[in-house]
Amino acid sequence: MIGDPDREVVFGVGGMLGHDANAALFVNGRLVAASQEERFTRRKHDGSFPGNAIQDCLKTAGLGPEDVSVCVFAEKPLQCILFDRAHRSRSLAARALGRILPERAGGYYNKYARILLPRARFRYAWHHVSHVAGAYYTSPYAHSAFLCVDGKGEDYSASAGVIDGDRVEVLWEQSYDNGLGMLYTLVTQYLGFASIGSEYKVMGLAPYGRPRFRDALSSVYSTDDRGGLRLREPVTFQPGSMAAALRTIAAATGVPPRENGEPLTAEHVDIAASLQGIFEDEIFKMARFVRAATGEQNLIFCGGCAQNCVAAGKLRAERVFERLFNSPVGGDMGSGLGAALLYLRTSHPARRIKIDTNGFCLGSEPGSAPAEAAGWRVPFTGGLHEFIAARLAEGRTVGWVRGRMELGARALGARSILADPRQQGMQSRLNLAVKFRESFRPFAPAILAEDVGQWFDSSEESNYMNYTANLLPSRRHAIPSTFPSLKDQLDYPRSEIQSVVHVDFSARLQTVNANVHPDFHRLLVAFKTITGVPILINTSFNVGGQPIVRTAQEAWDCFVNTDLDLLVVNGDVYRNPCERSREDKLAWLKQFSKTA
Amino acid sequence: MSERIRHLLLRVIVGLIRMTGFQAKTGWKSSQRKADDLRGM
Repeated sequence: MIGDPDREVVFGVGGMLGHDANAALFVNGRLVAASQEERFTRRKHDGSFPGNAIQDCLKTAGLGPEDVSVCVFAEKPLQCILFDRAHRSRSLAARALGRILPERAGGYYNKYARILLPRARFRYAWHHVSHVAGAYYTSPYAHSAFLCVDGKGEDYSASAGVIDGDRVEVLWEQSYDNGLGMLYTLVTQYLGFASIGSEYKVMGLAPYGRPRFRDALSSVYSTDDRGGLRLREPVTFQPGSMAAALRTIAAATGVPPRENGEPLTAEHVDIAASLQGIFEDEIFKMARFVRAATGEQNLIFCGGCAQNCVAAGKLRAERVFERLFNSPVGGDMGSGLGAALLYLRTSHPARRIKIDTNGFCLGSEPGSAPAEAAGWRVPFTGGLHEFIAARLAEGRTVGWVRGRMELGARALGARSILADPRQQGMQSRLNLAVKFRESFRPFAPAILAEDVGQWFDSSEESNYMNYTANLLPSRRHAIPSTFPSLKDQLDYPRSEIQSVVHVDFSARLQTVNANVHPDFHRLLVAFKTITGVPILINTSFNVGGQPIVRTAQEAWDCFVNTDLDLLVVNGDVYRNPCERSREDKLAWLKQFSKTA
Repeated sequence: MSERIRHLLLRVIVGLIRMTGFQAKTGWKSSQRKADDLRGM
């Protein structure tokens, strides 16, 4: 019923800082749906107004635009634009203006939302606090310290404080200019990974190298013993400013900036290792400061920099805090979710918020496979999971599309590419012939939660691929101390499950719990029954530069343009027609190359 | 308010902030930010 006065429909909208636009929908305090705009526009990390995501959430809920009563943005519009233009953090003048100017002065910011959601009232949350709220309400903690670090909020790049059911207090903050997130973004671009959100590639490259450029890189910033890193030359997220900063880094390292597509040299790999080492040290210093200052035993680690799962895993393993939670939606793709939660908490202080995240499968169903797929359907007897497990054990690669789409950067078993990690050369095969991306890129293991302690040095939950752990020494093969090339290092058989263990024996785990992802759990059980190994390669169903597929049609298009063997859509299995030539596939890939 | 006037006003405001603002120093500073504030600002 449209316009039900007793029903409160709240949207949280994030990503207006320029990337990863997203929307989350709550009806009467219950999380109903959440999605990312990139899945609809097919532009990775799309930061345009998430109108498609909003409409898809409404469709899932069976509601119309007129039903929406409140829309909460995950950033403050005037503060954003003032600091973007003026580059003056903590300016008293900007703060005073923010208080003096009327509410409607922010109207330029929500003009699309006003058209799309005609009856909604608009609210604006602080960006970092949105991150914190999103992470807190998806964490198992009643009270916790938080550490939020990213490239920039409105006028700050790091914040710390405490949160519980009754209060959220930002106690400390660092100004937005030139912080740790900016350093990581700069060096990522310097290494030739130019598109936004490519920092994880540098993180994946780092274990191959030696950190011999640390001193050189450290000459471009100053820091202190609490992680107060700041670049010596001011930089902003504007192209001209970034270009000048890249020249500064090149001068410091003596290595010219790498162009996208150029071969990676040992120097590039060592610079990645140096950056990751600096990053981890600074995060550790920040976390120790927050621990000492708050006395809390729990830490919520969030913001874009918390997506660095290597740092998060080490932070958890080192026990700087007794417990650490790194939310899968603690970065920008979950900021709308956090903003809406912050509103619900503020507007209904007596109500205790508890949300069911459905394993973060909060998007829409895939729909039916296209008509052209019908001729390639594979008949099978017995259960789907058992049939696919047997094909995986034979070395087949499988696109797996079932149920509601995941929210966040990781495929968790709803829009996944799956393969057997024991197969020799599977990492290169998947990277080069299926994902069409750099061969060094590691894959994550999805492992039965009940078996994780028998393979890795952590038995803690990592339901959403948010932490790394190390392969147990008893599972490792002896390796040479040096390798002639990156490829030799990559291909060397390091363990029985080589494709999901990095060169330093680390792995970004997805522990698959029967209560969180029951369908995917069933597949892993079937695979273990056949092979004795409770682990599968799980990587997002896309090619390099492409957002994860959303619909069955998109899955089919991706499937026929790659060397994947089988596609599962809902309960049906299809084999690859293998009708496209390599030229056809490369032509199809070109549409994603701008964001690769 | 027309787009042109709005842009002009914004430029004046930004200029004022640049003149009166200062570059923040390194490191953690105590925060006065009200976390539950949902106004536009």
